[in-house]
Amino acid sequence: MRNRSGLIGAIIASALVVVAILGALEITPYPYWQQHRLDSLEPPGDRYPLGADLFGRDIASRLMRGASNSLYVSLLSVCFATAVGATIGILAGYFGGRTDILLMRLMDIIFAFPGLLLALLIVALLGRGLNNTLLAIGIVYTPIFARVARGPVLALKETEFVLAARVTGAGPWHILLRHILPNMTAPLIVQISLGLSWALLTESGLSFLGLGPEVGEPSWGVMLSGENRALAERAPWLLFYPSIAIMLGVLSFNLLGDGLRDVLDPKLRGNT
Amino acid sequence: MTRYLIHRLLTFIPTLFGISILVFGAVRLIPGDQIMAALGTEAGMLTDKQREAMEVYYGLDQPPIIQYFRWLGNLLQGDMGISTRHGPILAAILKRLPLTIELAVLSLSVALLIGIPIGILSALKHNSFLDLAGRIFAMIGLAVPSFVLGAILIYVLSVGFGTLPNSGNYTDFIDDPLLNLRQLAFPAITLGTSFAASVMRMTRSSVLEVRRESYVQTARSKGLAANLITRRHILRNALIPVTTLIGIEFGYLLGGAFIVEHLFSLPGIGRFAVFSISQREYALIQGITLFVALTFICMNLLVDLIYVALDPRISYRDHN
Repeated sequence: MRNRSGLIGAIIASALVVVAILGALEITPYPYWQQHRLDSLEPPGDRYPLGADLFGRDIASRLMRGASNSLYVSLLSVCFATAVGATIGILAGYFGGRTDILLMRLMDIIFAFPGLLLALLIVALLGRGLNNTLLAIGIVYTPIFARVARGPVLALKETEFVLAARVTGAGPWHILLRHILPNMTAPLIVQISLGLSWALLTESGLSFLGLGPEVGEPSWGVMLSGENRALAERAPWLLFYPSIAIMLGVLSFNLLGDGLRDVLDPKLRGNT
Repeated sequence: MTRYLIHRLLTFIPTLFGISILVFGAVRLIPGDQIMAALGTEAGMLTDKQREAMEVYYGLDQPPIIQYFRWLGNLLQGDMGISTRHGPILAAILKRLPLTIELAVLSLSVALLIGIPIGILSALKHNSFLDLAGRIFAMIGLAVPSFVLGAILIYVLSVGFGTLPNSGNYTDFIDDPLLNLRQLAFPAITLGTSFAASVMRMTRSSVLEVRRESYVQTARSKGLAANLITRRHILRNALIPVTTLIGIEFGYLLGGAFIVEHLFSLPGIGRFAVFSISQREYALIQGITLFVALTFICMNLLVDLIYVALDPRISYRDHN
């Protein structure tokens, strides 16, 4: 049952990635920016399968372009958080002592801010834009990956095969890369999948508050704000499809994460 | 216990320092300086003489470390600086605090009223239809962002009932409790629902775990009534981790209501933060960030302490 839901998550997530790639390559029914003033607020139908917005722009095309922007930020921010966070966690766990205290205290400080607040602060300081948003979200989630990585390293560094490697004269970098890293990928993979859903939620939240991609670029959160929200009463499709897109995205990453956890960590099976 | 308390407080102080350095440093990173931070774009209109006078006033002619300690000293005396639009920053924040606290309390109540019963039922009827329904609720609750749920609520209310949840000005609880609660009901449902999902998941997994504990098996083998076992042995212990979650989530609610306050036009701290960002009032952003982060870590500390008090099995004697 759990693995079936994991599979459903994987299928939806893959479909969204395909849509995002098409959006990024601008292989969309209409150019996402093209305005057709005469078709303002056209309901879903033959010409516009998901309807048109106030400026007569095709919602389907904008959703596809939005998918590429929203997923670009989510994927890369989680990559950033994983790369930086896991490196910090591994170094802290392996070297221990002062390195551990210094690095993890730093992580605690970042962790002491509510996520969305810190992301807001960083975007407010750097200015809006896809890359600034992804950097902000990446920084916010770095401490979580540091914590997830540090735990297994503490346990692994005392295992016999690591001690054996040390006895044979292997250096710390060799041990970290060849013996410790390959044995701690499971918790990291699960965290990456769950992290993607948080990142997508944070990205949509920031976009919703007006701190998303550059003006003119759609993202799912942007499509739920501004004039679209004001016009929802007359044209509910303006909000309906982006909402579904965000929910599908978050749901698929959550299902995938839970499924992966069941497969990779049998101890937790069925508990969540 | 005392040792743990001392240890916890000792790690609390460096974190406080860290936060203050981060917030102080962040505002120094912005294009422009503290004058820009205080005046916003109006700083461009200053004459050289005015700018010099302001530099001396803000101590910008001093090295950064002295500036930091001066700022920290002011902070400890409750002086967060002055915003050109809103006057003293701390007073401006405190003015908006009651609404945010009220919203957090109401949302938390919604979350607990929905999350705990569903979580308990779901676990007690493990793998039944009820369990499946509960888990689907949690999955959807976690996947629906507050701005989507809020937008749906506003849409349903305006189209179905021809009313808006927050039309007109916000009314204080003291002035008109009924109107106040009516204005806050939908924001609280919006914010509370996704927390209900996490409360439900935590309750469910915790009850499932406790059910497998040996003391529950013992109670069962003694022939105690199922109801009694559930009430005395399972729920009492299973709800302890839920308390921790509640504490942490309350911290998040206090600092994380930006979207819901923005969506429902409620004049709380969250909307104030979004406003100050859109107006580029860096001194305000700095003040609000610091205030929310401090509240957040104080809540976390409090939760840790309550946790010790609640659970007799936990002893922090061996901690470190």
